[in-house]
Amino acid sequence: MLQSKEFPAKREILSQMLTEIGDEVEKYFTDEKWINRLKVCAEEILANIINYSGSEKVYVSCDFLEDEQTLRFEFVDEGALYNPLEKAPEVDIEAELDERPIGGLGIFLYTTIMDKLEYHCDDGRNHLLAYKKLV
Amino acid sequence: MTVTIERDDDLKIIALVGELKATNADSVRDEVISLIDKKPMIISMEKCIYVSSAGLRALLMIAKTAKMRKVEIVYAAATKEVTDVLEMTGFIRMIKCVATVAEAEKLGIRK
Repeated sequence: MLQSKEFPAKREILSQMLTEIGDEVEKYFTDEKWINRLKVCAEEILANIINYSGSEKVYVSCDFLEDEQTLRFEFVDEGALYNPLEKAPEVDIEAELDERPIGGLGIFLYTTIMDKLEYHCDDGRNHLLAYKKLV
Repeated sequence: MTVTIERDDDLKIIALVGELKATNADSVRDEVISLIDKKPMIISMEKCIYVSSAGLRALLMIAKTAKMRKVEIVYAAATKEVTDVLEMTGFIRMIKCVATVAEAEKLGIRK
């Protein structure tokens, strides 16, 4: 279990964070497809914090909710208050190449892959929770 | 991730090897775009084991640049996990993706 583990919010640490999250995910998920999908989600959320929040630290938790058979991730940062779920852009996956915008793919992926996402602000920190039931 | 040129005659084959992710997507994008000339290009994904959303943006920019320069580009031999992400985001329909490099070579030569 990862319990509010503190990492410097730096690009150089991203791989280490993803490795530690991946180790947790692999305790519960065996299907490579889902392990990969959850890694994609974690990378997107962490990359956004590192690139845009201005926070110097990020806190990562990952625990398993037995009753719900669900893996829960929590990402906390101390940067500018921002709810990424509020302004999630629509992504038209049927759009042709010329019409396809560059942005919006990351949040599209994690809102598609995760079963539930919650944001709240507490003590001036951003908390993003992501839930995925075992498949 | 490393970007290697595997063939460069009437057709260019570029192989992406490793993980295409937030920390390297911009440099991989720039490197591949710098290799686009007039020849049809195959991007071999056979040894690309991971593509994140930043990686998808790089693949999208490469495809858009190639189209703008009127260069045929084909993504070939993506792994199962990478194909899953390409499918989820509609990339598989939007950009030309084929199952093997050999299949892509036929397309390129036909052009």
